[in-house]
This record gives sequence, structure tokens and C-alpha cells, in this order.
Amino acid sequence: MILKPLTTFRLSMNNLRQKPFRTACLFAVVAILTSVFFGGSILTASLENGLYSLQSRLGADIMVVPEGNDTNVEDILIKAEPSNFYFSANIADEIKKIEGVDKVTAQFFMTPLSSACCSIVIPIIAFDPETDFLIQPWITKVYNDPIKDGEMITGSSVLPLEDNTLMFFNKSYPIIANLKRTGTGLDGSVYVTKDTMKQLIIDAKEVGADISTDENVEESVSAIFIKIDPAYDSRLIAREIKQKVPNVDTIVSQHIVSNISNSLKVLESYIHLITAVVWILGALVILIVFSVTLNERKKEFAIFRILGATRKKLVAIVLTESFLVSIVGEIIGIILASLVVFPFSDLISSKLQLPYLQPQNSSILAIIALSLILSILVGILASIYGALKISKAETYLTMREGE
Amino acid sequence: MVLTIKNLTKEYMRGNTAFYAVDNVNLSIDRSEFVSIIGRSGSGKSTLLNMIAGLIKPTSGSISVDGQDILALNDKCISLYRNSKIGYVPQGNTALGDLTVLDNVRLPFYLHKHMGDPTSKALSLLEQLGISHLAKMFPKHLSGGELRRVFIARALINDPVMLIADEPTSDLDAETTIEIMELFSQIAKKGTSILLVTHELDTIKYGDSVYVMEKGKLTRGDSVLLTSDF
Repeated sequence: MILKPLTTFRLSMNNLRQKPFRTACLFAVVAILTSVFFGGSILTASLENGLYSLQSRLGADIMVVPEGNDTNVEDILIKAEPSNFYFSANIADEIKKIEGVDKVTAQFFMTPLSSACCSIVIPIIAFDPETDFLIQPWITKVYNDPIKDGEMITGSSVLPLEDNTLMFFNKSYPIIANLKRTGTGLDGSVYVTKDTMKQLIIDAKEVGADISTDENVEESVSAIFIKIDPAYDSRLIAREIKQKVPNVDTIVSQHIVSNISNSLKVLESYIHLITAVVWILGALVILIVFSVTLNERKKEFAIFRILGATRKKLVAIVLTESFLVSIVGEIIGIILASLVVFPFSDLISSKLQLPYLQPQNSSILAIIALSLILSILVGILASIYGALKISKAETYLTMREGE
Repeated sequence: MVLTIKNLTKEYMRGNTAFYAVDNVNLSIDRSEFVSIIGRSGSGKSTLLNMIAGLIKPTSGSISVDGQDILALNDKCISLYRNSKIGYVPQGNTALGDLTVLDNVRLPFYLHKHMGDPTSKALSLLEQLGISHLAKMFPKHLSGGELRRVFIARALINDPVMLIADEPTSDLDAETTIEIMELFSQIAKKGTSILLVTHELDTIKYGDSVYVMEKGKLTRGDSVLLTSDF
């Protein structure tokens, strides 16, 4: 008969296996702790990542929109909501004249209002490849040639048809590039040249489709984006634009980012608070469960001592049990949290209405490692007191208590 | 000598009053010798046994087992001593309920480094004690007599020089008591010294020599037994 050696690991495993209810309770506590920490960390990392992505994707220091539409810009950036605000394209020329303005480019927004006409109902953004400094840098990361009329570039969440095209107003448009995910509303938009936009509006009228605009693409724009000379203060220039150009609102990018950042900080502080409360309560539960359990097992440990186990051996058995509970609980917790944070990331993003970009795999692995370290630490800290107490107990007296 | 005890004393305080659980005890046990200590409850016999097992530190005196002064040993060494030099059969049920009978017997082998195959040895011991058919059972399914055999097998797994047993028959019926005591006799004949404490007069006839423990004092008991009522 070949049997496995009764190592510390096997003795600990055996004890956990023989007390399924208690073990399951301990697994559940650690799983809850880990899932809260892991889920909360992924959530905050995704929000921070989304904010960073938005910050780097904005590209412009100042945005100029028709008066009264400054709040709509955030909706476009974060939620990809349809917009229908326009002003004269000549405003761009006026802005160019202001001292400190380095680059100026304009965009024209249009959204089909009915799904019957198109393969997808999403905002279409026309930009001028000659002046653009916003989209082009992102396009060059995935596509080397300049965009031509009749071609489209899609945000990461736009799904093309099987032949890699999109259908708008009975016409098919090839997609030449799909931009990297940003976690913002920009992911749900399509980018075209001004001439393509013109054609889209003509086609829409021909087929009688509802669209969000009847403006002329040559004469109107939805927003003007400005890059300022680094030597100038964007807030001062924004103020000057407001003074010199009538009926416009200016939005300083930093302001958008800091607004979102403030919302994020509030949300993060809630997440951290909830995580801290759950961890403290969880650690207390583990501490109590371990203490009660070890108290019940005093006689068992006294028998071990009588049979020749050292104090170190008893501590090792208890800590191995705690380690095993932490590892298994951690795995369960991460699986549970992953089943929520990853498949439902789009839903979370839309509910939070904040830029949300899942961290890279390396960051996720780092969070898993940190969760593991924390859960093991909590498990060990919660059990070490009981383990030391049990190892120092007088065997003779413990045996007498048990009689 | 396997065991040499000299002037062993254990003093406890009850309130402000000192009392001697073990009072200046001297005892020697030779190889293969079977010694019984009889005494009433509270006479100090279990305290004496626990001091020999290294579980209680005496107030004064010395204990030498197989030539080794056990009072000078640190935790690691005294644990090794308990594991290898002696086999201790404590009072009551001391089975580990989560382990099978076979694993209960094998366990001491794994608490320190030993040579050999513990499984074969444990099975052989269970066979000798007539309970090999219970190897895969858990202790809760065993009777008192069967459990006692398991504890004896467990105490013998590391070939100790001396087996010490605390009231090994206290919770057994008359028939099982005889079986267990005969087992101890056989073990002693095979070379392992036996030190047994009991309060049952029926069991002392199995020993080579008998001592009486009364109020912490140990005396040679052959004559005392005739007049004492335990």
C-alpha cells in the first residue's frame, strides 16, 4: 500500500477537507475580500486609464463651439451622443489671427437619426486632413496613408459589416482603419473627410433619411479645435477668443479633464472607502473564525505536541491552512469579480458616464498579484495570533481541559 | 537504565499555600522492565508521567532517559525526544478525528526525520495488535478497546525505548482491559520498557514491579498494596 507522506501541507489540506462547512465559510470571506479589492482596483484603474486616454486623445488645448453648447462637448467626448450645433466656418479664420494660436482645425458632426438607412446609427465626424492635428496622429498609429474621400475610419467599438464596410444611405463605405480604444465617446464615432460628409448629406436627402443636420459642410462647422503656442496660457487665450468672437463658447481641455478627474476622485474615494470597510470587516471575521476554530482545536494541537510536534510545526500547520484558504479564496474572488468587471465593462462605462478604459493585461496581472499578497497577508495576520497562542499553550493543561 | 529519576519534585501554589504534586521521587526502570504506578486520583501520578514525557517542567530533580538529561533540552530536542525515545499513550481519547486509523499511527513518523517505510510499519503494528482491518476507518467508528490499540500502535511507530501509558484501561470493560494489559506485557517482553500509571488494582499484576503514589510520594508498593484500597 503506497500512501502519501503526512507533510504539513497534507495535514493542513486534510483538515480543510474534513471540515467542509468551516472551510467554505473561510473561502467565501476571502473571496468577498478579494473580489471587492480586485473589482474595485480594476474599476479605478479603468477610470484612470480612460481619463489618461481622453487627455491624450483630446489633443487640443481649447475647443470652440456655438454659444450654449459647451456642456454638449463633454457628452460627445464621453458618451458619443448625437449633436446638432453649428456655426460659421469663417470663425476659424478669425481665431487664427489671435496671438498665441498655433494650429486651428474644424470638425463637422452629423448623426443619422434612423437605423433604417444605415448599418449603424452613430455620430459621423468630418475633419480636414490638411489642418487636422487631432485624429491624424491616431490614424498614423494604425494606417500610414492619408484618408481619401469615400473612405471611413472607425472608433474601436464600431463594428463593420463582414466585408469591412459600413452602409450609409444605401451606399457602402470601406473602412481603412480602426482606431485604438480610448474608453471615451470617440470610440463610437466614424471619421470621414469633409467631401465624404457632403456626399453623405446629399445621399441622405436623396433617400429621404432623417439626419441631425441640414447645414452646408463648406459654410458651417460644429467645433473648432485650437492648439496654442506652449508659451501662452490657454485660459487667457480662451478668454480673448470669447471677447473677440461673438456667440461662441470656449472650453479649455484641462477644464474638461479636471472636471472628469474631480468626478473620478469622488468615485474612487467611495470605492476605496468601501474596499477598506470590507477588508477591515473581512479581516475581523477571519480573525474571529480562526480564533474560535483554533480554540476548538486546542486538544488536537496538544495531541500533536504529545506525539512530538515542535511549536514551529503547529504554527506551520495553522499558517499553511490560512495560506491555502487565502489562495483558494483569492482565485474564487478573482473569478467572481472578473465575471462582473470584464464582460460588463461597457455597461459599467455607460452607467458611470466617465471615460472607462480597461487596463492592459500586465496591469491586470499586477492587480491579481497585489490581491493575492493582500489576501495572504490578511489571512496570515488573522491566524498568526491564534497560531502562536496555540503553540505556546501548555500541552498538559490543554489535555486536561479537553477531558 | 532506560529511565532514572532522582529527587524529582513538582510544587504548585494553591492560593498562598504550596503543595507538592510530586515530592522528591526517585525511580529507575531497566530495559524491558514493566513498571506500574498505582494511586488515587490526585495523588500526583499523572504529573509524574507528564514530567517524564517532558510536558511539565519539574521544580527540582533530574530525569534521564536512555542516558539523556531531558530537562536540559530545548523545544526542538524535547519534541524529538517525545517523538522518538518514548511512546506516550495519554489518558482518554487522543485520536485525531480527521485522520484515518492508519494515518493516526503513521503521523509521529512524519513529525521528525526517520528512516524506513512508515506505512508498512504501521500496518504491521496494526496487524500485531489485531486491528489491521480498521486501517482505513476513521476513529469515530472505533470502540474504546480498538482506539486504545491504535494509540499503542501510534506510540510504537518510532521504536521508542520506553512506552508510558496514563490510565490506559480506565474507560474499558474487564475483558478489553485484560487484552490491553497482555499487549503491554508482550511489548515489554520484546524489549520496550513500560511505565504505566493506573488506579485499577486488577492491572498491576501484569507489571514486573509496582509503585504506589500517595500525596506526591512514590514508594515501592508490593507490601503496601496488600493493605491499600484503590
